[in-house]
Amino acid sequence: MKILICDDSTMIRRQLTNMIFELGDFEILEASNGSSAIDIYKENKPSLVFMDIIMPELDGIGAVNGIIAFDKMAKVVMLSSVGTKDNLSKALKAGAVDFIQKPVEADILERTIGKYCKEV
Amino acid sequence: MFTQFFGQFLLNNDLISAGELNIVFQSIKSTRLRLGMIAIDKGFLTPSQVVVINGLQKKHDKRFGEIAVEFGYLTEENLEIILNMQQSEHLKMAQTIVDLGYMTLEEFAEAMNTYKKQHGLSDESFDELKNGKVDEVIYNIIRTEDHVIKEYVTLFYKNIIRFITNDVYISEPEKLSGDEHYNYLFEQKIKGNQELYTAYTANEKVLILFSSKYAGETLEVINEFTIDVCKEFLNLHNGLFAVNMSDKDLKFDLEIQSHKENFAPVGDNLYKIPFHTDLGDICLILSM
Repeated sequence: MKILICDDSTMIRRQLTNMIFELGDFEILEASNGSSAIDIYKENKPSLVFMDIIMPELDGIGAVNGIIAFDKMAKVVMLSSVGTKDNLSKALKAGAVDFIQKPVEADILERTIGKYCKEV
Repeated sequence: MFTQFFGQFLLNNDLISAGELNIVFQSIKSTRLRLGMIAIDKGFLTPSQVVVINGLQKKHDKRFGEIAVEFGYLTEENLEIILNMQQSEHLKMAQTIVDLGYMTLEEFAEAMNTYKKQHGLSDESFDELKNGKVDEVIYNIIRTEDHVIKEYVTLFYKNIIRFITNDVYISEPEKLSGDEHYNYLFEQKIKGNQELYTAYTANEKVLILFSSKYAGETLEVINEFTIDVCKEFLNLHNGLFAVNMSDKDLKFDLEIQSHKENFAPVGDNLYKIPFHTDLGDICLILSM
């Protein structure tokens, strides 16, 4: 099962990857900006996407729009430090299925993956 | 937290030297609290009453609490309260200073009162500070009426504690001259109800220790990853700040965080606020 992590921070991608590996046998795909996330999604169709919001080139909301335009059933979970009402509303409107506030806690990550990737 | 703030106050007012303060911080952990110290802190006894009770203890070979109640200095209820406070961290500092002979009980009690007055703290706020709530003291140090700035600096302080180290206190803001160059500066602009320039800097050694703590792994040099970690800390802090403001119906949007090298931030209203930590000094730079 593939999970795409899109975040411009190498540290966040590394930490999430390590946390997800603890939860099961997943294939992790990484993107450091929204444009790259759309391209990787189109090529790989991952089961779940964790998407940051503030990123260079194309931000997370723009990337959700791009991914949902390609696949209406895509499961994109926003994972951002900026969980403001405004961002939450924009993300859900764009088609995100959930929102996790950074710093991410292992149990929330596990619950979220369990919810959207049924094998866990 | 109280120990850092109060220690800084003692230092700034020449009540203790830097070397002595350092010894106090190192000795606090092994200090066992005495009831007299707690009773003074709670206002149940004066320092001179404690001296009298200590004298009576020697004559009667009884415990402090027993003597204090027997001779009418403390009620049973007050004794119960101070017995329950024997683990209080903030009092250990007071006792350590007295035990090391740097101050007398009277001088320490006087310093506590002066501190309360200087910072305009009510008894309630002072108790809150002793229990770890630092907001009022931080507001007083940064001396601004701007609630957004107050919230920002207080949250930065709390995030240093949450993610980096418990050992931190801050000094008063200083206006940036415009020709102060920093080897490494991490910055992020915030727009919305108010425009804010936010940044922080520290020397290389401190940044390596800082980023190691934040990333949860040992980093040994400044490289792309270390810089990424430092940028992410600012982004996380600013994100949490925006969320807090959003809860108060204030809208703030973050621009992408970046880093600069050998850079002098320029602006009429830029201030640096030093955060002194056990890792070294970290300077928050903020438009105020």
